[in-house]
Amino acid sequence: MHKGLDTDALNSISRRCKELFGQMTLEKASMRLMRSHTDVIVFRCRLGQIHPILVSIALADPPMIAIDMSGSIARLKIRIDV
Amino acid sequence: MNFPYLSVSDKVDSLQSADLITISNFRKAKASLKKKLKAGLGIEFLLHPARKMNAEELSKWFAELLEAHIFCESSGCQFILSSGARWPIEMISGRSFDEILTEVGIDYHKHWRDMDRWLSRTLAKKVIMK
Repeated sequence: MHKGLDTDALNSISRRCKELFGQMTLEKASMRLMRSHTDVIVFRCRLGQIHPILVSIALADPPMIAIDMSGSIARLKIRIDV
Repeated sequence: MNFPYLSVSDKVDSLQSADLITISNFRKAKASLKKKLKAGLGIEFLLHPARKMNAEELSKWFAELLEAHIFCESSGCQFILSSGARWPIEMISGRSFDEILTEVGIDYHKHWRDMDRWLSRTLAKKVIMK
């Protein structure tokens, strides 16, 4: 979950993940955009690949912040109001 | 009221008066650091320039961080990784920090414990009483 950018954020995270960890890791992460608001996007990825995704978010350009993580969209909705 | 503070510098030449020094290129600064180093100094590395790096530069940056961490451990200095955020959007979540430290090859539990100890110890010496 990232704050501050539009849906291009997902492409920027994917690009960084591919550069740092390779195409295989990116495919395994299976990132999918779930929701998009003005400055918050919600996407899902495999829990087993959370490590490279969090590193990619921190090192993505333009900058973005992982504001929350959850196992379900419903719980996330309660916590961050999207 | 007590006002704890830290003196920060980005110049290796002014090490003696600083609690913390910000380094942008560790490999260049290493030789000067070795000569002028004092134990207990905090050596800070900023994360925000890494966002603009390409894959090759970023890989080197990770290797440099590990080298710096080993250097800090052996010289009694505190390795500090900071977001270097100039705006709130450039801040980094705690979990992302942990993952970056892991990627560098640093045990993040130990890192945060050491940071906490270093900060308490350094701030205790630097309090202005008003």
